[in-house]
Amino acid sequence: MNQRSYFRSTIYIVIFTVCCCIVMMVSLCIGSIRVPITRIFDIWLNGPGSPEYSILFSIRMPRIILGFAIGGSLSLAGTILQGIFRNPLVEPYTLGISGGASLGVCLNIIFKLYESIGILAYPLSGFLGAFIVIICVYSFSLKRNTLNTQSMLLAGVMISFIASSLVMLLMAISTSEDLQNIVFWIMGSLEEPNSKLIFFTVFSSICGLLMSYLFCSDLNAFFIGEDDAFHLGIHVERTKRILFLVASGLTGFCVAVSGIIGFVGLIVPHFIRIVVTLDHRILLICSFLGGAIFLIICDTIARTVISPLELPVGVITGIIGGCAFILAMSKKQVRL
Amino acid sequence: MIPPLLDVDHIYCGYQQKTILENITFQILHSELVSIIGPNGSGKTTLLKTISRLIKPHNGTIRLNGINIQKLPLNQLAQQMAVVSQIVEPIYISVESYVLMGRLPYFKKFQFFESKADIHIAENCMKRIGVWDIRHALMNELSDGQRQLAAIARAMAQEPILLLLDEPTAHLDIAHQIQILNLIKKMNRELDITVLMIIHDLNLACEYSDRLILLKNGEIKQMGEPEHVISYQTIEEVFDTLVIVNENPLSGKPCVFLVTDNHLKKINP
Repeated sequence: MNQRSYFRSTIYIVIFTVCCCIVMMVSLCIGSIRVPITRIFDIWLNGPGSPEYSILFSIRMPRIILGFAIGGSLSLAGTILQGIFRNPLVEPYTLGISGGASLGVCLNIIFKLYESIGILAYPLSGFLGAFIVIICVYSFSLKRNTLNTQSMLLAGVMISFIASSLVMLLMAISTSEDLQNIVFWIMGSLEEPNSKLIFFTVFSSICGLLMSYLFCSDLNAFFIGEDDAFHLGIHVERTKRILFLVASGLTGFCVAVSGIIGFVGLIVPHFIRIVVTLDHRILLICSFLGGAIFLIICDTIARTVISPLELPVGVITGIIGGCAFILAMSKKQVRL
Repeated sequence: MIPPLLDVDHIYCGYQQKTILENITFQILHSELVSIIGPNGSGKTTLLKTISRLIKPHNGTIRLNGINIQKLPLNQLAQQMAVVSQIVEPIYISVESYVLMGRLPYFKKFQFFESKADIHIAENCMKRIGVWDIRHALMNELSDGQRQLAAIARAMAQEPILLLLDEPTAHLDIAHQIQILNLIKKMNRELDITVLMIIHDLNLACEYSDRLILLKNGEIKQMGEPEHVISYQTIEEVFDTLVIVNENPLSGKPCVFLVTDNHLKKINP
């Protein structure tokens, strides 16, 4: 990377960071009660007590922070997986992680585990389901100590089919109350009452970003093929394993906390590749911030467009993301 | 006595349980240009992959400068040995970024960006190899020959002492074949880079190589200077093809001429 592109890339990161801050602030102001953006600091300085403070900092703020972490994590996981597989169609859910999480949550709802464990049963069962799928996909694709990316994809898709079929089976035999619960969870939402869980999600997303950034040069080298990357001194197998675990762990955690929010992990990385760069040293950070921005915007729309009712955020991510992507793709070629 | 740069010592290797190479032993001295020749399926690429550590041998040792390559850290191996694959993929990055990747083995822990010295070395390589003018072009916009040049420039940016090339002239026309081989020879002579390459064209192998290694069915059939390796009897035995071997009037190296069925019919109707 020469001086000029180094400078340009730094500018992009700054722009994305500033945009992220602006989107967060605007999202904080928009809702059933609108607050002028200039008053945010006043409300914050006056401290708790006022109803506006509760709405802004107890209801909207946790949701925005969760949107930041989930959007960033999903987009980062998508970027990593597309980088490892060198396949533009791979997204965090391709590997069956969402299917596993859904199955876990369905079992939790059907067997009413939440009654004995409490509200934490949802993320716990989701994460457990995702974790079992990750282990299955990983062990099916590990042949002679080599992680075969093609069989990993196939195993992921197959497990995903099995899991979604089992989910449908459970839905078919469940009561109408359980069915509503399952459908509501599968649609995905950023409403999370547990502040500790929000904190953990933010923490894990930042950890995921830092860990994957350690391998940004390796991901760049994967671009020229696994064998050639090996000839450049990259530990191909080790990198693939660590990054697979980072990406799937992030996805598992996101799905467990917020349900299935589609499209973020597929569209945002491509969008950033088209608009910004293919260089993972910049791409990873921009993807993370881009995903965060995208999900916060989508969630703001989802909770305001038919206010006081709320749309599932997955609906908005699909429609807006898909349209924006087709628009970008018609102007520039998709690259990987 | 100077020890050999590359010492391949009784190698047995292959894929899974199937053994492809059996008891391969040879040495390559500093600054030599050696070509591996042999029919398809004789184990040439497997041998190159074993030397580059992509395949672990079932038995035997490969030493680079006296050190077992299996015991060298990967980045140190990449600092000493560069590999140019047969197919250079038409990817969506600029030639400049591609060549700069050759500096990856020199990255320190937690170093994510190239230093000024790295950029300087990569620029010199691009100028030397002749891809400086196309440095901003994308790899997928280049011709096969230009991509091969870019791959050689990337390998040179690794500043290796041993350069392995897998059929560097495959898919190229005669002008580009000669351009690439002249360049390899120039680097071999001027920069003292030892070269081991696979090549199918026997005439080009004879013209450019100091020594030839002739493989058949996973074993070394002949090894030595082109004059000693290339004879019509050997070619007939290894390739199962009739040829005439003559001397190139300009270089004095062996030159192989084809004998087709038409020729045979004319001689013996």
